[in-house]
Amino acid sequence: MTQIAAASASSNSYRPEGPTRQERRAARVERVRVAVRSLGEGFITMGVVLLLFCTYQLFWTNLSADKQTNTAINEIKQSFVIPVAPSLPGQSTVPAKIAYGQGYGLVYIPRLGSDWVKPLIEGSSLSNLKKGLTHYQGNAQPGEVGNFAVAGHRATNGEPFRNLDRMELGDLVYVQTPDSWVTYKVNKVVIVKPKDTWVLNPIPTKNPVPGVQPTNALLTMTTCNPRWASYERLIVFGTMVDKYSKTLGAPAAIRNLV
Amino acid sequence: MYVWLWRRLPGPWIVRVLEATALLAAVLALLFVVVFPWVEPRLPFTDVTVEDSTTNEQPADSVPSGVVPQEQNPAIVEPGFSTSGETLGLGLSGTTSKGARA
Repeated sequence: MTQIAAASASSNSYRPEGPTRQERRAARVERVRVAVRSLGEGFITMGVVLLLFCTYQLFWTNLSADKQTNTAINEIKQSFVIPVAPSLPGQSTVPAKIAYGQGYGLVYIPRLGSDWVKPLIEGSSLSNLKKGLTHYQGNAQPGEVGNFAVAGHRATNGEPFRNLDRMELGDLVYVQTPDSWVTYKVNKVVIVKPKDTWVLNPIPTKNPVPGVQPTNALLTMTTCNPRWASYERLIVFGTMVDKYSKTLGAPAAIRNLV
Repeated sequence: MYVWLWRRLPGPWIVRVLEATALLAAVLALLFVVVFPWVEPRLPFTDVTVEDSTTNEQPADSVPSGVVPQEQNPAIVEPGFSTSGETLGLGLSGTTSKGARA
């Protein structure tokens, strides 16, 4: 009896001084619990952010790029209403001065879709690539002797060249410029390394013969390969097969799109 | 983390819900407008051009000098044009060096 009273008394006298062992243990468990929960919340948050980034890449960039593409197509179509002097054979079919980022042509590729039309933008920066196909600044223009080279996204940002790997030899690429219709025929599809800039040369060969001047109007289309990676580039070459004044009307194959 | 945040939001619970929604919208906007566009060029999906550099900070459309040396016309090569496609000498004398993307 006295023992219990003593214990109870000691317990009562001890209590105000601090938590009991059980309470300290409970507080420690609670701290661990909060830490584990915070860690879990952090991981879940990172997962959600990654999923949001996928949403951004797979949907958002396409929505935003499609909007810019449609705006560019409308602007270019409006600019085509203004009459221009016809160009000479072998010459560029576009005005000499094209501002960086300006849309100045439309490209039609029936193989990539029955309603496939993309704007042609000067200069292949990332911001221009969001609008459509971009012309490598300094390279030949449509219809001009040399290499008319364009780049386009294969994944995200409107992905105009998503199915460029489906191009077959003989496929036609129609380019509408302020004064002409230029038709290229695909004659070669290759996969190269990202640094193989020879594909942009007026005579796109790996080992150019010195002194040989370009005589043909060629086409080069570049995009990434494989689709979601960047260690290669898919290159589609073509050569000009037709070029005539815009006044004669659109080529029959795409007349319903113009 | 989220409990901590919830406890610090002022007002009754209905106001807290609105505050939390606004906070979430702000975070989403920050991600989609600032963070993701910054991350995007650092991923491989947007590398569609052939170029002589490995970074996207270089103008994607520069044709390095030396690729077609026989085409070079010193008369039209001005300072700043040395690495642009101007060296192809394809008569695009009107193009400017704006190719150097910022």
